[in-house]
Amino acid sequence: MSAKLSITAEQDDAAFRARLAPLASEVLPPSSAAATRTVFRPSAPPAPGVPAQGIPAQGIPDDSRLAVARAAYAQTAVWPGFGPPGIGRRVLAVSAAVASAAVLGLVWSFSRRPGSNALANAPAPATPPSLPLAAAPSENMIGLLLRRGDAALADGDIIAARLLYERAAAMGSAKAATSAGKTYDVDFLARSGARGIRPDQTAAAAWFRKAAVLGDPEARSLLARIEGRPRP
Amino acid sequence: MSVAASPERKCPIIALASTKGGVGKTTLAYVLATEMTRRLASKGTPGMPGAGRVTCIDADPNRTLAQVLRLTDDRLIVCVESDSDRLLTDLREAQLESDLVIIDLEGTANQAMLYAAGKSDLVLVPAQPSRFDVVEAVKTIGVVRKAADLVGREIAHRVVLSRTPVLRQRVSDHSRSQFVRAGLPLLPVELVQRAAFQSMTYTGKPPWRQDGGGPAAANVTSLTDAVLSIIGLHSPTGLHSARLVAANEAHETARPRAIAARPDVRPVT
Repeated sequence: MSAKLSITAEQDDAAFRARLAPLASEVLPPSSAAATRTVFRPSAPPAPGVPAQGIPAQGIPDDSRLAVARAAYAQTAVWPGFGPPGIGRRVLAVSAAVASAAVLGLVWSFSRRPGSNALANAPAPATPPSLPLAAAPSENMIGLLLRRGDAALADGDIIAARLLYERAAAMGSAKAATSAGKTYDVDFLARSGARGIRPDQTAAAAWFRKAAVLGDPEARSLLARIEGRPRP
Repeated sequence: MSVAASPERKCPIIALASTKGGVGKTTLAYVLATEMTRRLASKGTPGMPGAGRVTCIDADPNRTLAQVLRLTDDRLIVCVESDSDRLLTDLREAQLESDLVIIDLEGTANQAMLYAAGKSDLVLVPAQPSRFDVVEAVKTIGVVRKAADLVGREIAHRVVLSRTPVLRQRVSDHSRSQFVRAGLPLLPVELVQRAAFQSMTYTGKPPWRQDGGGPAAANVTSLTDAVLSIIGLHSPTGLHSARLVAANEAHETARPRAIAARPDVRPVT
């Protein structure tokens, strides 16, 4: 490179720097004297001028397929004690203000959980093979869940695949139950090269058993293999 | 006279900028550089001034790009460690000897970012699907747009969503819509969260050398296609740019269908 060219280049650079100089304040950190320290309390209002808002609780339109899956899942999985609110639930607050040395405020609150009566009205907790199966729409849903499970598995995301398979299995799919079992199976995990996932032969056997009950022959042979193996 | 229009301008420059750290600037720089040398090498046009070289200018004082480039045996990648004082000189020299220049910047607003943006054909702003990243991307692109006004030309810029989960998550969709609402142009291809991009930082092996038919390699392929299509449209089409486009087209036709069928492209709504 000739000396002449490099002089021109330096002049160019100087001109370029000068051109961008008005933006210096945008890119230079504020001087330490100007820097202030702000302490926020959790109750403080959010800082103004922030363009992104938090995710609204209801604002994001739900994936309709996900909504269907969730609804189907909700039919199958019922948490014990998650009955309709207010039934047999009483809160009593009693304050007593007398003590020998100090004044103590005692708040007693107790709630009576729904008793055996309420539990009897609720559907049985989820045990996939014995579930009452939803009719036609769940066939599509099972297929969808299986496909997404297979895709997750192909991506190496075994935990996601497991969740998808377990949902499909909860809707009565034998194949999904077998696949769910495989995600716990030590042999399958070793073959798929998964790392960081702990095999669980008991869970695998449980899923294979469910799949066998639902009529999947592959599960029967997998189950026989697990049960035939001496326990460590 | 505008510096940008000076006749010695040679090859395209891509800058990776973000006022936030840890968003994937270095990862993106590295996969773009290695993918481009692969394409340029397969094009095989010896005797050209750039000789298929890609120069990576690491203007990040942490020197992360330089660290990973030390691990690679790719002889077509030149690495220059730079800072805001030397950046313009380094850029000029790099443009003379390569077919593409990629600048990796520090994850803060700084002078080097301003200069890099002022010289670039394309500024890529990686951002993860989180609120912090949306805010910082807005800032970064604000600086780029003002720089474009001051240098008197358009500077193409895109937000590249990075580390997006493989499976669809509502928060990612929400972040995408936030970028769109903030008026930021999104690259239609995202850098997906893949183990290959992490193991690369230890081994220096780009995805196509780890598993050429794998999802990470396919992701890089479609991402590079998207990037090059923007450069092709916006750069003053010189010899080198034409070569890049030709290399890219040759690559397009040679690409096996299996890979083409699984690009990690998500429609941006």
